[in-house]
Amino acid sequence: MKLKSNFSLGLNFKPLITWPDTVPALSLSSQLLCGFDLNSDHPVFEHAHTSFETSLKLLKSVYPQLTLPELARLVHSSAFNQFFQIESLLKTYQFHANPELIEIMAMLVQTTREFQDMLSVKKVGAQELTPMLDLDLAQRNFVATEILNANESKQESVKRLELLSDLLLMKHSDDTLSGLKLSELAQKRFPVTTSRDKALGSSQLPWLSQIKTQFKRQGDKAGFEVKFFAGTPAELSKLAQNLTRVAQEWNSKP
Amino acid sequence: MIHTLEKIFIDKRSVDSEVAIRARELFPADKIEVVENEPWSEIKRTLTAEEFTRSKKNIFLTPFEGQFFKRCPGSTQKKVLNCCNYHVLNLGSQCPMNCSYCYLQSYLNSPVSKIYTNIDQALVELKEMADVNGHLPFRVGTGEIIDSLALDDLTLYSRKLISFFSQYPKWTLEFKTKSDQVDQFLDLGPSKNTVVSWSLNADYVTRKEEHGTASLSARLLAAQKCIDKGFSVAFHLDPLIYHEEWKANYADLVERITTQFSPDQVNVISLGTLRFQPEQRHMMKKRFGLDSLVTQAEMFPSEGAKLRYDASLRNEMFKFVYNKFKKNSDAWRIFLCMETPETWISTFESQPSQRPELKELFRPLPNIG
Repeated sequence: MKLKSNFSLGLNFKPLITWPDTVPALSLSSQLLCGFDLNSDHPVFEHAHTSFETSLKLLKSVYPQLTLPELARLVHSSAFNQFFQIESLLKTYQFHANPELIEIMAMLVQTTREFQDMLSVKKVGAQELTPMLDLDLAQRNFVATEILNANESKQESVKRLELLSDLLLMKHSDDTLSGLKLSELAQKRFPVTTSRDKALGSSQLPWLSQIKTQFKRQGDKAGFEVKFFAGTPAELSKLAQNLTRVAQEWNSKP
Repeated sequence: MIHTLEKIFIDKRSVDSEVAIRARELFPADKIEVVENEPWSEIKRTLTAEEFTRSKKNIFLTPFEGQFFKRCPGSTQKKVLNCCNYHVLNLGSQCPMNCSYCYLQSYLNSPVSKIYTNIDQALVELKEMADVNGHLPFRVGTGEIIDSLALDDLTLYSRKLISFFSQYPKWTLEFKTKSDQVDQFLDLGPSKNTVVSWSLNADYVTRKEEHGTASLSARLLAAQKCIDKGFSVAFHLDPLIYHEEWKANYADLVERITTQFSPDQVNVISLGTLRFQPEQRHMMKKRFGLDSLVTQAEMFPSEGAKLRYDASLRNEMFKFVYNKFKKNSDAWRIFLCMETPETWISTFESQPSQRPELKELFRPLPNIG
């Protein structure tokens, strides 16, 4: 057992998870594998790389789970990549090595660590990152910064990524997209549908005041969510008559 | 269109097949290679954009070992889509043409185009079914995962199929193509139960999105040749693609069809709007960029997990084209391809089974595929 100060840190791999300071760290052929943030006098168990299989086994026991950005850093780390066969490594962590995934990992290691960590925390999948593949480095950095600044849920972040990537490819400039709300981005990406929705949503239909309506888009359909309460059969009939009238008027609109 | 092929790989087992013999007559020796295994067979995953493009230029002549005859994929979604009893006979896969919206981009995983050399086996399979169900009006198409005629100069399969179907007049053979390759079978006419059908689009869309296909004029001219020789023809205005001048451009397309043809000369006209699987988006962007009307399209998740235009826009497009035809003549037989009952009702105010001119097409038939 040696002290942490005797090892190369290989910080470009460092995963998000913090190694407990109550147990020794581990190394793989002089490269520190975990405990990157521990004190320099922390003890380290040494493991020599003898075969791809044993190194992978060691990695899996230290890190039962690794996210896509973490794996990308490992694959692209000159300190570590000699110890693993990429296909087995990815398979061990439930990823299928295909050209697109390899391309996504290469793209990920070029993004900021903050962005990578956000993707790790939100568990964003490879498929959800594919829109960024078509962008150049500056555009990718812009998208990453916008997503970080927006600080939204995973679903919203993925939507923002997709919208921004499309809009950049459609030649919208960074400055016209920066800081926009998701709905504003959607309006730019789907101008025809947005204007049709706006026209329908703001159309003056003769709803009775007891009928609460909300304009909504559900996939390829836009329409009204309708809510009402009827206390008697007579009330229900009155409401039904009104709905028929609304339907006729809606139907007559262009 | 066979001139776009860069290499012809012949499966050792197919060396003596009619197609392989013809390939050796049509192509220089350096373009032909006899192989024991399928080229690039080590690729067992989704193809990259580059691999997909390469697969269009390389063809493998090989026997098919599965079932040739199947129901149209639309029939598996009967609960959500209206089904028109279409059956498919797959005599190959992939297409040498290159439409930006092509659904094969998310459907095919084979790194090479294929032509199945054992068509005689397909005809045996077909005969077994026709002997039992020959009295029912089944429609059999060969253009599901390959253009029916684009490679027919090489295969001449059209000739075998037309001759075969002449024995079963109740059955209809449908070729579906974006090529103008018809001369090779015209001498077999008249053949009323052979429908040669063309996917047609507005001239502007054809030029912008249907790369490597025959021009609109060439397709219409080929259709005229077929009519003149006694074949039936059909048109698929599919996919209708939204763009700024869509009304003017589709009005022009309808005008060209209705000026050149009469309703009694055209078996049926189907309409469909742009639709594709979500996983196809990235492949299309890679292959065609975002200048395409397809990759720029405003698409939303819809029935059958496909992406489609907003439902009200689809209705507007269907109604517009439908009304243009009907304004010319009420006799045009028009139906919607792979659409929901809701869209049928909002476009035609009825289901296909309620429309006399389409009743036969949508009549439920026994499952034979």
